[in-house]
Amino acid sequence: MREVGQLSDEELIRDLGVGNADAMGELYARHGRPAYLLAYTMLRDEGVAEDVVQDSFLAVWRKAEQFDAGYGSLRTWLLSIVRNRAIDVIRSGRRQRLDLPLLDELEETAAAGGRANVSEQVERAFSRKAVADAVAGLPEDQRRTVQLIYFGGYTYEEAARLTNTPLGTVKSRLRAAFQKLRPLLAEERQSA
Amino acid sequence: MNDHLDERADEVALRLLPADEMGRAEAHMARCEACRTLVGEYESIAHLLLATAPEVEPRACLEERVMAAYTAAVEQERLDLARAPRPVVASPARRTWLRGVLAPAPVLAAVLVLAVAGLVAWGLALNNRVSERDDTIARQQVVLETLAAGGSLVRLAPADPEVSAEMALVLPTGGVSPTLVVRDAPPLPDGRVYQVWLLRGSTPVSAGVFTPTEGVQSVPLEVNASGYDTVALTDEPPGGSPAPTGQIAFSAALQPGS
Repeated sequence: MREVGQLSDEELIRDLGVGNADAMGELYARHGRPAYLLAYTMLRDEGVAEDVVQDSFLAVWRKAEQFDAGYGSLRTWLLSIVRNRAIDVIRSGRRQRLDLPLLDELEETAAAGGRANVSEQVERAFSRKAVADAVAGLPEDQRRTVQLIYFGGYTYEEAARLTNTPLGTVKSRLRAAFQKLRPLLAEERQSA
Repeated sequence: MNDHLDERADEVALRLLPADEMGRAEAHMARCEACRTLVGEYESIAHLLLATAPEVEPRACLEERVMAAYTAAVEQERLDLARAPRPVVASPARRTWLRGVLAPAPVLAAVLVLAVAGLVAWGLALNNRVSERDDTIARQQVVLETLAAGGSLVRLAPADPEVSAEMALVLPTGGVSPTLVVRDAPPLPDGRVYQVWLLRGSTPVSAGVFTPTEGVQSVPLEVNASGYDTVALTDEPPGGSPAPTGQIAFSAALQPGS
């Protein structure tokens, strides 16, 4: 019998579904840090971020039968659950949103790309340096728009109001940023 | 009409659409493999941005919390299935999991016997411990009657595995008037109370507060538990808080429809 550390995402999900605590431990070992990083960056509160992460890992177990590796990695699926739950918290008014000054902090991190403060796990899985370079290479308006929406959980209309930008411009900036980041996806899939 | 999401895949992936449009998009994705794949691709691209977030490490206790919550939820599901076996329509993956729990029959019988014996023993233990206080006795009787009438029991797991206290939520059928039963709850600083929260997703609703005492306590909750998916306790200031401010001390997952 193989160790859980050797299991594929699909095998891990299968074991999780039958109540294997080792599988949950392995899931957390693989994805706990990026899940928390996303929740904390969006919510800026340690306790609330922990609640969201705990809730999200249980959701993975409850929805295990819905996972299909053909449509994305387990990491992507988990992170989408985390982000959706963080948005629920934000939109319920329990947490203040990411604001524009905090975007500067994100930009500094992007500019630092690949330095020692980078999570080894995130770097390994997402080819961080390449991603940071690509994000840093985006025009500033596109970069701020995509970060504001992704980390802040803002809708188009909210992002347009916050940045005092026409709605159509916000949409086109986001679309352009996605198109420029798209080539990185193949690299991420190779390293995942 | 073309419902494909080619032009809106990024908006769906980032949950930018209004709720009704999101609902329609999700319904379409459920039957359209191409759009499901496209939205999944955009989600993957979006999560690349995580590499630009400032580094932050989760506390070590988070892994313990996740594991405790998972163990408690699995145990509860097994207990529920053992106590009330019934035909279940489920996807292949879920049926695989059910087979592991329900078959073979001797295992089911053993689980049932253990579950019933555990409930009886727990009930007897409760009765033994409440002999000094009439009001508490009355509450415990309500608990036992609730269980006898088909109610369910949800054991809460402590966030700190060293804590030996026991807590269980007794849920009557339909979730109306749940009762939290507590044994030897860890003491709190003077004036502090435990506050009980019921959560739907990440949204908590206060269900009552109590001051811990030695022995067994029964705490009638003020909220119908139906529709909530989690119960949790936090340490809060006197009278409780509008929203949780302390760390979670105990928690458990609730089954939909509890």
